[in-house]
Amino acid sequence: MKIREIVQTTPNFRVLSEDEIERIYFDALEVIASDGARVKSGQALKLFEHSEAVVTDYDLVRIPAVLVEKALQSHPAKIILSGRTGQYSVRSQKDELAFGAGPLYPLDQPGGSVYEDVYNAARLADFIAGFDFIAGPLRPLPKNGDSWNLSYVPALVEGSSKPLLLGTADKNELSILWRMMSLISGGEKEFSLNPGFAHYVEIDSPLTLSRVEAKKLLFCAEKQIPCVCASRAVSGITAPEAVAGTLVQTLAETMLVSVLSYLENPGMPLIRGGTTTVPHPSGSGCSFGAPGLALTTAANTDISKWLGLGMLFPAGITDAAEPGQDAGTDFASGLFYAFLSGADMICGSGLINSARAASLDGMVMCAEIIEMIKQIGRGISTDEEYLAIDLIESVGPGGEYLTCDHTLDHWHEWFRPNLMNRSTYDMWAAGGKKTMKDRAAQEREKILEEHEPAALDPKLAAELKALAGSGK
Amino acid sequence: MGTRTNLTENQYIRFSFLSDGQKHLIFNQVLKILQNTGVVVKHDEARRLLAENGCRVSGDRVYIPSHVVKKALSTLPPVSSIYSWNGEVALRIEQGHTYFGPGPTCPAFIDPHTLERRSYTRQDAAMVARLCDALDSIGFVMSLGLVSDAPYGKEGLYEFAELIQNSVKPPIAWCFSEDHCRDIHQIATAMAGGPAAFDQKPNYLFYNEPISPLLSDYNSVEKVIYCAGNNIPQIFAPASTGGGTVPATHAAHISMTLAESLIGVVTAQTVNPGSCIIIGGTQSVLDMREAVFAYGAPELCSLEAGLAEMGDYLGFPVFSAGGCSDSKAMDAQASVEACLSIHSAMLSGPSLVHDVGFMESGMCGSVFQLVLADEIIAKSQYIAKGVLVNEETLSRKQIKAAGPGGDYRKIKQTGNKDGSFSRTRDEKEPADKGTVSGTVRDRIVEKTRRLIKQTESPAEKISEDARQKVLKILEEA
Repeated sequence: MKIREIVQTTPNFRVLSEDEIERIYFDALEVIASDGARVKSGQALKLFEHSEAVVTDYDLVRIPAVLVEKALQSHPAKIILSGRTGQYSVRSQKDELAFGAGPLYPLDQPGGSVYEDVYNAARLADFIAGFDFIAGPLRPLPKNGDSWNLSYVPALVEGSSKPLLLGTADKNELSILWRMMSLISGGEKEFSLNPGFAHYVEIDSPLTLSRVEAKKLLFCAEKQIPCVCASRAVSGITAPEAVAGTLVQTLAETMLVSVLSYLENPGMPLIRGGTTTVPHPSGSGCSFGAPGLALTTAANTDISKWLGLGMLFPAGITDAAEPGQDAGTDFASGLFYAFLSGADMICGSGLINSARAASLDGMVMCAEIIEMIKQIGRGISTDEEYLAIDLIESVGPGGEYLTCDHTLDHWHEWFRPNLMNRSTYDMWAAGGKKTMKDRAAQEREKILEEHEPAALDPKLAAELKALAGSGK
Repeated sequence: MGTRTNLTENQYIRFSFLSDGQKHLIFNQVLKILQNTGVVVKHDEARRLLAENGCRVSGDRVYIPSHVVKKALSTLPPVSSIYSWNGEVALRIEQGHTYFGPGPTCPAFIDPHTLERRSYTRQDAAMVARLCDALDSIGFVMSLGLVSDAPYGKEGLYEFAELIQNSVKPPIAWCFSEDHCRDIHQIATAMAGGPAAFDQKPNYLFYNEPISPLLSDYNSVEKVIYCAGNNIPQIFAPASTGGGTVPATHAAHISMTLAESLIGVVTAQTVNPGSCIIIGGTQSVLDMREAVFAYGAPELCSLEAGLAEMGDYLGFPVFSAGGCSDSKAMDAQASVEACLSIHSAMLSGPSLVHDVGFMESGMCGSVFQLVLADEIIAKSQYIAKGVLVNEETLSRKQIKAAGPGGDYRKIKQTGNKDGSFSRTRDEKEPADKGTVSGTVRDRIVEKTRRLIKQTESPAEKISEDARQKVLKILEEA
């Protein structure tokens, strides 16, 4: 028997030291207290005016540290999202992570109607064990802003029983969505105990909260809907060039939304998020393959953990237009750092073209990458069985381990490739020289042919559709 | 601004798999293996030497007591420098420096011009060396192939002559027999400008492998003794296969790799205390379906990172592997596998990471994979540098100047390159165009061909005397 043994069971990874986090935190407190933030909602400004915060210059809000710290303390350290059948859930708590597929709209290769496409995409994500939740569009789409609406949410719900991450166009849509999700949960109180979705609110970096986003945030606070508050901090444009500066600014932005939610109704489940990266080299949008995104978000995850808040990490996203070799690099490095950092929700798997479209084949590829990364994450066990000194002694120099029982007992713990091909060149050539993308497409077709998601009560489905249509 | 005290910074990012206690446990097991299980050394002279120095010898089995291992480790240098043949420091083999480079002896090679899969030639060795010179994130040179147009048995020698003359980055040499080990060393000495110059500034490393499990054959031991005696920096690293030549579990695997490596260390330190010998290994699992050593397996990432951590714990540099793939095509599999092994290598920090550019589970070398990996390495280096947190990078002035809702394009930035987001080369070049209009395959192929065409060989700077000597050594070998 052994005592006093400290064993590291998973990899340990950290970007910032405790001291560095504190420096960033103190600077962020200073930014929100002295530079302040712009809030474009009258309802929100009223709340600030009645608090210790100072509102000047019409919409400039400056918040004292004492209020910020009270607000930051108010969020729950643990958030649970439950899927409609109770089979799947996301537990947002320190160092526990969940991988998400999508946003599942728009697709890079639309097939049938939008409803059908979304349903099928959800079905695919439902089948893939590596995905713990699925996401719908998070922000109004730049080109076809009106092509997604609540009537497609039932497609996600029918296609999958995993928890959801969703965005909405405005507070009106959000309130309908909340009613829909409460219906699924079996009532409003059930929903607040076991919410089926988290909502996405975006902060206009630097330090601005638009009227629409502020109203959505207030609704989330009122109904205690888990809320992802994400900064869109593009280096040199909407955020400082230096990573540390971006961390200060995005933390000050979190402080802003935290205080606003606190003033409305303390205790909103808050998950930090953000696309903190460099501009896309083409000049429009931002880059998802840049190493800065992974580094900054991993650093922000350290800060979120320190604060006891959740973190959404965008990963599994490529700048490339198709899920080929470049996509492989972007998918793998993003997911690897998201995993190592221990972010609560890792979202974006399968997005291509700088997150402008979802690729189902890309999603299937990301699922394989996630399994590989989880294998790395299993770490190195030093239990006696794994040190196997007696075995080494008995086999001795020049022997072999292939036929040992120990090998038979343990080789199944290795990663078993599904899309990764390890055959010889000749075998591979004889099989038609298929690339990983080809194999992913085959896999996707097979899943979509076969997988039946858990049935949704037709009455509930009809009610959801009716509710979704009520907002028009 | 006030003065700061008690500040701990996390300047370089690393990750770890093992607690100190676990590293201690693994190292103890290594000592137990060497002492109780013993190793087979198929070399009479070496066995005699080891017996004289405290080892118990029975037949060809050598049992190395832990005090002998610890004595060898006490004379093993934790720091070495390898120079370019022109005299500049090229590799600092010590904690905190990680260098990447290709690997040796793939039977097949992808022709960069015709894309045909074919045999590897001497000319390819010269081309690969030039390409390594052109790639910023590649630190040392290996061939990516087994030279098919060299006399039988002299492949490593002919390859070395090409590698060292076509790059200023140090090559890592290998060969079958000790004779050619001597020829290789003569070439390196000629390039350095004589034995004294070589002693001062060694310009290559010699790569040597024990046979896993726990066996060193005559040739490998002979080469260890030769290198140690001639102060040639050497690497003694097995290719150990989980579930094949070593146990299927990682902790046992790593302890075996270390034990096998330490046979070389003990021998070399007995021959010449203080000579440079680097521990390490290429570790992965045996794919049970395809019966191959899986170069792209995630297990390679964990095993190699664990080994690097053990090296760090013991205070010695480590030779490992990464940037390799089981894929047969330039596809996402090739980039995903390379990406995971490169990033995990960078985060665990071994000194030398070889096999960058390996395809088909090591059966085929590809310069395209090498060029792709170079870009991935650059990104991993950027991330491993971490986040610089200081008065300047915290950007209080910029945040104030931009103000809520402001535009950072209108204000003066810090311009602090270390602290700012880097744009890696593929993003700086009009390369992302390639991902839109063509495929990345086209982009990498085009970039590789351009680099091969543009990069001049440093061969013209080699003295006529050295050049003639190299020719003569090859003729007489």
